[in-house]
Amino acid sequence: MNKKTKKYFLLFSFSLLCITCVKKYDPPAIQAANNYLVVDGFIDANPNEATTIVLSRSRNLSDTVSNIPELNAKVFIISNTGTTYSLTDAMNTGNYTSTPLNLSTTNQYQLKIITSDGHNYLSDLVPVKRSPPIDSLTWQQDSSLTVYLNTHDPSNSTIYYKWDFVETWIHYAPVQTSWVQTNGIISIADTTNQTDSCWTTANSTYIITGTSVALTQDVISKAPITTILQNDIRIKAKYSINVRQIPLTADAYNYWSLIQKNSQQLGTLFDPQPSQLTGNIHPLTNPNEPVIGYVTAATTQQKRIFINNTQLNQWSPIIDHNECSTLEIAANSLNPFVYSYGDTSYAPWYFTGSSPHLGLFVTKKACIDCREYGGVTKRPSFWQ
Amino acid sequence: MRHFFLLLIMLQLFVTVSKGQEQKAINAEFKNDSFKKFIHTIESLYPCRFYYDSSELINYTVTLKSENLSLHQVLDAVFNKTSFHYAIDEENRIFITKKASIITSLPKSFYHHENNIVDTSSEAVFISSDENIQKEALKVSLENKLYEIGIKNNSTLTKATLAGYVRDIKNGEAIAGASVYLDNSSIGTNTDQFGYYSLTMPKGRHIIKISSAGMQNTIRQILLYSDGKLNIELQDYIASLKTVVVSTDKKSNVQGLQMGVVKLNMKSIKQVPVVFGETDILKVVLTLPGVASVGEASSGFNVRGGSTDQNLILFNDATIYNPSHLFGFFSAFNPDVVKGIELYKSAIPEKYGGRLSSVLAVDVKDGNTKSWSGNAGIGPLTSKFTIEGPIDKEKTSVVFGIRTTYSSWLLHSLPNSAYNKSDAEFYDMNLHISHTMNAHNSLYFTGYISNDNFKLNGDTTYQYSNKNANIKWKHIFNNKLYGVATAGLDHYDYAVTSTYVPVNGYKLGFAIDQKDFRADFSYTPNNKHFIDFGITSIYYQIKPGSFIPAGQQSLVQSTILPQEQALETALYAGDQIKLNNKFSLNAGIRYVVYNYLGAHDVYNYASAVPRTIYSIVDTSVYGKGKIIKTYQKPEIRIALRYAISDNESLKLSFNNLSQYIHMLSNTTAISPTDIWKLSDPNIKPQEGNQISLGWYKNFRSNTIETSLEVYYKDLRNYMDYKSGATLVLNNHIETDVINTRGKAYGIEFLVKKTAGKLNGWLSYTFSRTFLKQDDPFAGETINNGNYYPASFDKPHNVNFIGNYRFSHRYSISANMVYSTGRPITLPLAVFNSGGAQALYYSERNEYRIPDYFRSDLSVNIDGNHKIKQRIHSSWSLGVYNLTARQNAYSVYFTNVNGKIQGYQLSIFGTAIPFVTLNLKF
Repeated sequence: MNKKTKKYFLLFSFSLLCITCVKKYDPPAIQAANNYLVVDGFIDANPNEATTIVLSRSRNLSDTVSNIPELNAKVFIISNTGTTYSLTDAMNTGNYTSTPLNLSTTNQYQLKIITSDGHNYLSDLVPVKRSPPIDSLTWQQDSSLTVYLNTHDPSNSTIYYKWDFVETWIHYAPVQTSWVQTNGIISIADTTNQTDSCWTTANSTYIITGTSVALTQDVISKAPITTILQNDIRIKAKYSINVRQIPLTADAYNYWSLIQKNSQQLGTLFDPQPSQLTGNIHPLTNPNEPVIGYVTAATTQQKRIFINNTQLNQWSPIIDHNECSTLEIAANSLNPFVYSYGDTSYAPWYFTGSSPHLGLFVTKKACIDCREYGGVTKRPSFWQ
Repeated sequence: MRHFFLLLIMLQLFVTVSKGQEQKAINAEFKNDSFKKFIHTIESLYPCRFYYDSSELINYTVTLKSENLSLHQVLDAVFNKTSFHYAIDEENRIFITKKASIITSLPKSFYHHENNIVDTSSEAVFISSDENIQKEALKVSLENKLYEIGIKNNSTLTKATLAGYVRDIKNGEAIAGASVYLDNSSIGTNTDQFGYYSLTMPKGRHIIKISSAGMQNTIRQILLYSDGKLNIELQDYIASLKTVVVSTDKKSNVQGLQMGVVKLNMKSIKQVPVVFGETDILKVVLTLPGVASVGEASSGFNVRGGSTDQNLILFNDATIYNPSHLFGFFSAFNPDVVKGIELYKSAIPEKYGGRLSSVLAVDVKDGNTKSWSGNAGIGPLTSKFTIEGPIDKEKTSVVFGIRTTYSSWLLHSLPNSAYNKSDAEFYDMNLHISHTMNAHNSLYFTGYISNDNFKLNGDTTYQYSNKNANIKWKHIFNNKLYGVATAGLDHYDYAVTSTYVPVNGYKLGFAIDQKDFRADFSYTPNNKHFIDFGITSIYYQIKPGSFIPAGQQSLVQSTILPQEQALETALYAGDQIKLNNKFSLNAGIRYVVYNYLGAHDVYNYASAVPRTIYSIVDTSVYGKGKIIKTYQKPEIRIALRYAISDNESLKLSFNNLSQYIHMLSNTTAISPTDIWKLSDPNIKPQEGNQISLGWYKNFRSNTIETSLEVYYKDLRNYMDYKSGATLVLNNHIETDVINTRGKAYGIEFLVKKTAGKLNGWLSYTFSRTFLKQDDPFAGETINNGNYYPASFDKPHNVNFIGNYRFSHRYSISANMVYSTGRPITLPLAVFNSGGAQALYYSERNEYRIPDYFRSDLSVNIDGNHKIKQRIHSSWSLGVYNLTARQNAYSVYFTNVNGKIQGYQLSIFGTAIPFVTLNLKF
């Protein structure tokens, strides 16, 4: 018996090699291009403000392109009184912008889209929700830092809120120079061409919503807007955040809450269940065609705060210690301000000696030009 | 021949009271001698005369050595195991007959002598002159005995009750579900799980027929004076090859009142093809009409379009929350300790409740009361060992079974690194003790532990365990009334541990504890009524989830959700009424009271707005033992049967059920992390009504059974998930679930051949389940408020089981399963909106995973059939998943390098050959 059993054990273990197979699952529904129209943005009813609607196409799950803009479409805002405002994509990037408009907050508006393939889409008529002012932005630091928002609506009519933000921070080049090199000429740097200070700006990349539905008054207290982990480079010196408050209808709030959930990570035990989006944009040409988006109309409010590194507890970002060794080259003997060093990864730092034995020290651009770390060198108008 | 029978009739009329006969020893030797010679020799040695039909016996030869044997002993030895019977009258005339033996005397009371002697005990007495019954000839002789039962008195009652146990003659084991009924009458009953029956009938002489699947049918002749007892022992039915057994007694599917109930004893279960060498109860259940598997190797099953949590699985009345081992590859019940199963899917007896779809009752063996015996099985993945026997003969018996797997070493020895880091281990243990204190009191103890531990690719360890124990006390008050009190503890827990990334090392845990008590009574006032009533009570404690660090380096923050508890109590009463020969009615009511108990905090939500964490108004804090919420409801159970003919009937049933404990299944995860949730102020109990109609007809002397059942179910408060719901470690689960209305309907067809060389069954089920959520206050309507298929909606299910016996030793079995793939919500596209990247999903359950298909083949070789052998062995070899189809166990999506990719995990995605040796001693 032993002999016999052994023989079969071997047979069994051989076959075990293919037990538990994981293979790719690509049913036809997923393999299809699935390029559905995505409408993003809202009708901005602030006085003298332009509305921007971004049109794009959804992508197949395995697509590596990060965005497929929808070009050459015709986009209109139509009021319930019959007025039509058209939006144009001047930059050819899928961003359709109107001229500055003064939309009435008592009217209702809808969006009409005709794509280049001739398909027509129309949103529901939506009322203009008016945003109360943001009372304050506050922040708290324990290990990480969180920015909170406080607002309230004395008329108790806003209730559902969505926020987005633009954050800006200043950062400096590791070493400072008073010179700047443009088109082979070295000159004294001024505020227009300095490379010491840079400002980087970023938009929020997730959905933030909040509601006061369970409260007896329309008060939002300490709604978390963003959390910055300890020692993040953004507050190495000074950080600014500008939060925009967009009031929503209850349906729109549900729509954005779902996007908020399903944009989280996949493939863990804690995955949320799949969510089905029901927007308010309807395809007129092909009634079965999915369209993604929920159009709202609103007046918005904004608020900005600054956070200085000196206000924080032990916030010392770990910096990549670039090797900022210098290299001395001979300055141009005819005109020391003519720069012709061959290695373009280097830039002039300072002069030494005196004419005619003028020496020029160069160092890596990463040490002297803050733009190597992103951002622009032009000081934003709001920067304090 | 004609003269022969005439003679018999005359004999019956003129014989007088038996006097006993003088014994004379016979010394003779026969060696392949003809029957004629045998008779001449005996007649010459002993003053007797044989009467027989020479044409029937012409081919028989006799080999026998008789040394000082009595005439009876000689005849027993010769006719034992032949189809012939003999009878001896007072004048030593020996009648040899083929079918029934001849009764050569009449009961004393036949002539109504005033002073006849009847045993005053209520036990049966024989009045046969034959005192020394040879065991081998038992069946024949017992069938010929007339049992006088009760005390002859002048009571004016015209009816009396007969009760007793039906047992297996071999090991004294109780036989449940055996049918006991009067010949030529509609009076009949089935034995309960203890093998107990009670039958009321007119006084006087009767023939009782007793039959049970896998056992030889038998009869008992009784003369009933008053209430009394008769214990009946049945013999194994050993299938004969050449003869097709035609039985007129297997009509219970047609004649039984219960509808949509499947009763299978272990003998029938073992006749189902042995796939993977291991008889598997759940696999057999899955082949029944109306039962569908969730998919490859999954722990659950769906009954009539119900979800997996709507099945109550009872192991000797202990609730089993996870009935499977190793991804559902094996069922958690060791077949060697199981006596049989009952699956109720339409007319659920009032005795049971708390689940909407079905009750699967698994009965445990009582243990051999006569001698010690055992079983051992050796297979490539598992080994098992069972031993049973009497501790105190005929009084106390014990069964102990253990089963374990040793597949880990096998996985470790593989060169592939993905496998040698894998582990798969499980074991289960059973202990069952039965103790008969006296004729009126018996005690039963059942203990059960199962444990699973598996790890794939050295990453996440998944562990779960069932632990159950209960004790039953059966008390027989009198022949018409008995009761069973049961007290038990049930436990289930699971843990998922991962230390793959040491810093993120975690252990996710969940546990249920259940204390239950029940008292069930059966009262049989007469043969028109069978009344049962009782009380059941369950105290639940659930630890809904804990997330704690695992490993030294883990930085995981502990989260432990607060325990919740509830008490579910029910009172029930029901009556099976025999209205007339054609109509029977079963009416029952069950009144359930459910209390959700403190200590617990309950969130209160703003009304008329969707429940989200933002609509929490406040929190109510309840102290320990405080009643937080009470739900109560009467449940109605009705079944009606109309017998069209002896082998054809129609049945109609209506059912009303409610369920207070719900399973939440995270279908998006790779590994199963199902948690159970109790109904609370925010989670309403599920309710269901079912109406079903069935037609049953047997053909070819009941060897072919067919049935057709249709049903319609109406469901309320079935929980489905909101879009984007989070289920794991969510202490406000009500914000992530929605109550749906549901409807389910279907048709089930079964054709079953029970006898012959080729036997087996084919079942087809069409079943649909749709849910609907159109409450605007839920925050979202699913699929625009239209009906959508439930995640377990699988329209078509086909099962085939076939078994062909070439000879007693060789048989081949095939098994085929097909079902439509379960519905899935697919992510179809990625899009950017509001600065974020999100997924666009299809409509809820719009698509389906690939269909499930599997076929298995096995060849079973029994060792020789010598009865006196010490160890009986049998081999089983075959192939599981013959077509090597990669059935999907789980489909999930994950983000790989910025691309979202779907994966399909097949646990047994290949043909798996197996060989198993079973030993019986």
